[in-house]
Amino acid sequence: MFNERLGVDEAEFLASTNGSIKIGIKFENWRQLGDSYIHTFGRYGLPINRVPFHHYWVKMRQLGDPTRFEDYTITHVAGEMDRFEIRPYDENSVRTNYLYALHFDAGLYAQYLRKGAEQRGVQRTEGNVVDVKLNGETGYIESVRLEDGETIAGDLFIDCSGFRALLSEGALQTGYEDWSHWLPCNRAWAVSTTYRDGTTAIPPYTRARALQAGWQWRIPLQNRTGDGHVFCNEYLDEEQARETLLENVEGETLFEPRLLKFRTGRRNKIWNKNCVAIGLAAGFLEPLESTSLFLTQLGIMRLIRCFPDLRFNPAQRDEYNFQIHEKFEEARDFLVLHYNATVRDDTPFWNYCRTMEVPEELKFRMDLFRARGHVACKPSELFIESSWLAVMVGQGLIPENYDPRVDGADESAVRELMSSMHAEIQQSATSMATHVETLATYCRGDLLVSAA
Amino acid sequence: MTEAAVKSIAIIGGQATGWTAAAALAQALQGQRIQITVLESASDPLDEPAASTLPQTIQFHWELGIKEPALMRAAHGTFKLGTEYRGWHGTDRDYFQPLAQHGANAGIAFHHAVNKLRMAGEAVPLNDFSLCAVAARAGKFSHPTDDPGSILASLRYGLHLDSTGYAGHLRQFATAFGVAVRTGEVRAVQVDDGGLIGSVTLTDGEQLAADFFVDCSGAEARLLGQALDVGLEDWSHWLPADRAVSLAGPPASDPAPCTIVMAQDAGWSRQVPLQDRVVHEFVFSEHGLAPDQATDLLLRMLPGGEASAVASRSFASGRRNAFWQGNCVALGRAAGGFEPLEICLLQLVQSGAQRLASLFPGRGGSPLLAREYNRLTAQEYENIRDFLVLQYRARNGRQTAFWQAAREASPPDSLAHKLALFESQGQASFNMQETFEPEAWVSAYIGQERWPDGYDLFLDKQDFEPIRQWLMQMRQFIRQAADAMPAHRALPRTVLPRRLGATRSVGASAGPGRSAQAGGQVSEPGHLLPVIGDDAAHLPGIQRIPPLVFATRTKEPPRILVPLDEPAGPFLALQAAEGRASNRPPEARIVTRLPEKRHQFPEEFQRFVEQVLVTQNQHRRVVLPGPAGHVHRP
Repeated sequence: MFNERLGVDEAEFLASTNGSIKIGIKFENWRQLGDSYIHTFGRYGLPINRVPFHHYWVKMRQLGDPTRFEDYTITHVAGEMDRFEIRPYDENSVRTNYLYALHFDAGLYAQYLRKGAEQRGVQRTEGNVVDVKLNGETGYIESVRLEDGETIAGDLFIDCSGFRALLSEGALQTGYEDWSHWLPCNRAWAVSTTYRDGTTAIPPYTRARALQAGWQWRIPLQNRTGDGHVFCNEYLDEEQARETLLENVEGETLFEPRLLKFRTGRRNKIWNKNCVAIGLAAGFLEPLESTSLFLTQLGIMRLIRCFPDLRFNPAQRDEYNFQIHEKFEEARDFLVLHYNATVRDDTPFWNYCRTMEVPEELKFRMDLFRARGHVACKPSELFIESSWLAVMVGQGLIPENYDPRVDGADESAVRELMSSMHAEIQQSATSMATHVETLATYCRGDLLVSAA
Repeated sequence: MTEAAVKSIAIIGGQATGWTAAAALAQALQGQRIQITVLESASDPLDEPAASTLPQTIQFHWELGIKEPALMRAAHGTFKLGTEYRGWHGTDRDYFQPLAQHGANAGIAFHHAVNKLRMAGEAVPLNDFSLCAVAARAGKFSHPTDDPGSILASLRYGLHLDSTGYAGHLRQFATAFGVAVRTGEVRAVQVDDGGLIGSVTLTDGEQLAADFFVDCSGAEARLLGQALDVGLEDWSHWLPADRAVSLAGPPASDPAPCTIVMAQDAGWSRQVPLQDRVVHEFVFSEHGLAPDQATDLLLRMLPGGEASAVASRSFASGRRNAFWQGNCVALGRAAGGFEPLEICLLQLVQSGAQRLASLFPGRGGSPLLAREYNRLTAQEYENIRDFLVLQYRARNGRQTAFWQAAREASPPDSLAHKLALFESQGQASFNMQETFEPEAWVSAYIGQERWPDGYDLFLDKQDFEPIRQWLMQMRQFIRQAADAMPAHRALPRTVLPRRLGATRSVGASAGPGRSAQAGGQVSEPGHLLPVIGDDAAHLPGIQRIPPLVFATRTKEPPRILVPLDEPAGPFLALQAAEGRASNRPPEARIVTRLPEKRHQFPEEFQRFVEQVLVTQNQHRRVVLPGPAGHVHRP
């Protein structure tokens, strides 16, 4: 959506960033060792009598129907076969009720955006900030001074300085809300690897494999994969974590793994005085559900909607902070769900996560879903109902009861309808092109994998 | 934890509140052998004699399968495109609150462009860009169309309904679903140690036991308030009106397609046009005016002064601390409520009943479901409260105690924030969960001439002249579209016979069904049915409602044409087959139109539908895939 707003052509964009399609994230070993599911951006089944589909699935499951929940979403079925096709979204058909996201090279993306911004008149200065001058009366930022002595003044400052938050924290001392008791991972090793010779398929999803004290990502691009190991250094030392990553990657590494250090949480006021923190300066959540770029883009789009004039109406700031803070919290709760809804008890890390006290609102959601299958989702929420369903069911949180309206529909008719959805999905998924074929025809970049 | 499933529901209180609850629950919970009983009595409070609803009501009726033409007949309904406020802001200035948003958003919320134009010295009323407002002021009405390219698709409408007629219609609907009726009044309520209601004792000594209770007993809140002791949060310091007198005046020859609200010294009055009468109300505070005085004032405003059905009611603005506690949910005045400004009680009952249906306890989760219900309902009430408080902050210069007190009360924090946010650059708080959408807030701010002294700065990044021209064109286009719309006054007469098959498909032959229309009462022999074909475009249409069309010739058996190529086609097909479709004569034949490309359903499902149609099995349950029921917003 962000790209659309910038007028970016998707195919061209993917080709120039060696991007690929992402139907979701495959979670391996999260619920328990040996188990996996994909959180896809597809809908599950079609509502029946205006009651969400999953309630019918819960009933049929109770009656002994073994069909997996994920068999009712075409992206999952196709994704398991490394198939993907772009189809116009239509929520009334199980063939087309899905959206998709993208994998791309972030470095190339930054270059791409920089070029576009400079073409539109953005002036670029290189340098390190050594001092920030605040207004003595209002405490607003007036200017920043660079190493070479140059001073840059501004009315509005956007702090994109990463974890350090040079302006927001360094100068304004905004403060940080620490969430590491809910999301204890605080380190990540990142590396890139080649595809092994003879690779014939690119999965249309990110892999997130749970390990002993964290998890490992694998993001498939057209010419390489991005890999990384997110972990908590209280449970695993850095060197061991590095070795684990290198043991687990499939091809040749392209550079030495780089270590990132972070603390999960959010700035107390993402917009403080005349400074808006965007990106890591605003807060950090591990990349498990790819919320980082999303929150960055949302932060920008909301700023555009609430763009101030020189009066800096405080109500604009409050409105902005309310909305962005809420999104951070929604993302946080969604991540915590992955760690907490598990039966894993094989390491101290997982024991901690399984037994920790989760945020109150998340607990309520989990309880309500378990008791009655209702997803307490707000209409404007970051992760929509189908995402919550995918992860809750995937993590083994199966409702004990379903919406009573389900019993109002004739059981055999429901069964018939569900099996027809299932069959249609199977048939339609099998007829899809492979992900590699789609990349080759839609957005070929340095595609180094050829279809089988 | 698995609980025992609810097998019986007692709805305490009839009238529009009780029967709306009964209809919504019966429809949602059909097929489960849950016995729903409504306890009604002649002394159930009527509360609002007429309802002036929001567009959400159209969606409600669609979801229940309540057909608009029959409903409009039963409730003497007229259509509503908004509310006209007279003398509300400044004694001689009127404003109009349309039910649809202004203009069209092109990346930047629409009103910014009009504000920029104003700040450049070219002030154009914002309502010139509202087809609802322009049409309403010209006395025009049309249903929205489905064609996204048509400006008519931007219309949204509500209904003016006679509450008693509405209650009767929903009573019929609910009892057809098997809802039982008991006559009587509550004498006592039996609450067990766990805080659950077991039964109520009626004045005749009989008991009415149930697993779940819906308190529709009005302001007394016999169950939730009295028996379960759930208190009321009082909002009267923000919303001072606590009393209304109403009476019925003669029907308008030219009923406005809008509610008319007029500021008065001691409160405000309104006119709700119905087909058979106009309901006049005076809403005020008992501290400033006696009901008799209010009635006199109201009578003086009546043309001709002929009035009937004089009634008076008192109410308190506020909400229950909990709407659902234990096994009891309160709906209507028992849950709290407002004065009948912008929102009507019926609207809250409809949304509450639907929320209850979607969170109805099965075998588990009651306390959690109650918590979710209470959270959502509290939000709904608070957002509405803020919107009403905003209306009272109009600077109309009236120096009476009523207005001064309301103006001077400091607003709720949430409203103060919204006002402050809008003030500088015209930003509307963005919240998708509100009954009143950001655009409605913008209409209200601008109606009160709270033009911000700034606008979205991104407008300055574009050449303004093309935008200006676009605005001027749109303005003209809206005027032309309104001119071309039919007059609202023609509708109560033309719409109904049309639906009865008297105007187009059947030709002009005076069939037996046409005779009564002149008298305002339409008799409805079984073989005279709603009309077919291109009239479908006129069916109520916020949602895509396909034509459930009935062809009719007096001598031929009627046909019900079911377009299976429409999203809700199979739904209607099954309704028809089940005999639930309104006006379906027993001898009707069902004819289907099969899907071509769009809206394909699984083949098996199509076969299933057809099979049902062929066998016309009366008891087969409805199963259909369909849209999740979101409102299509033009």
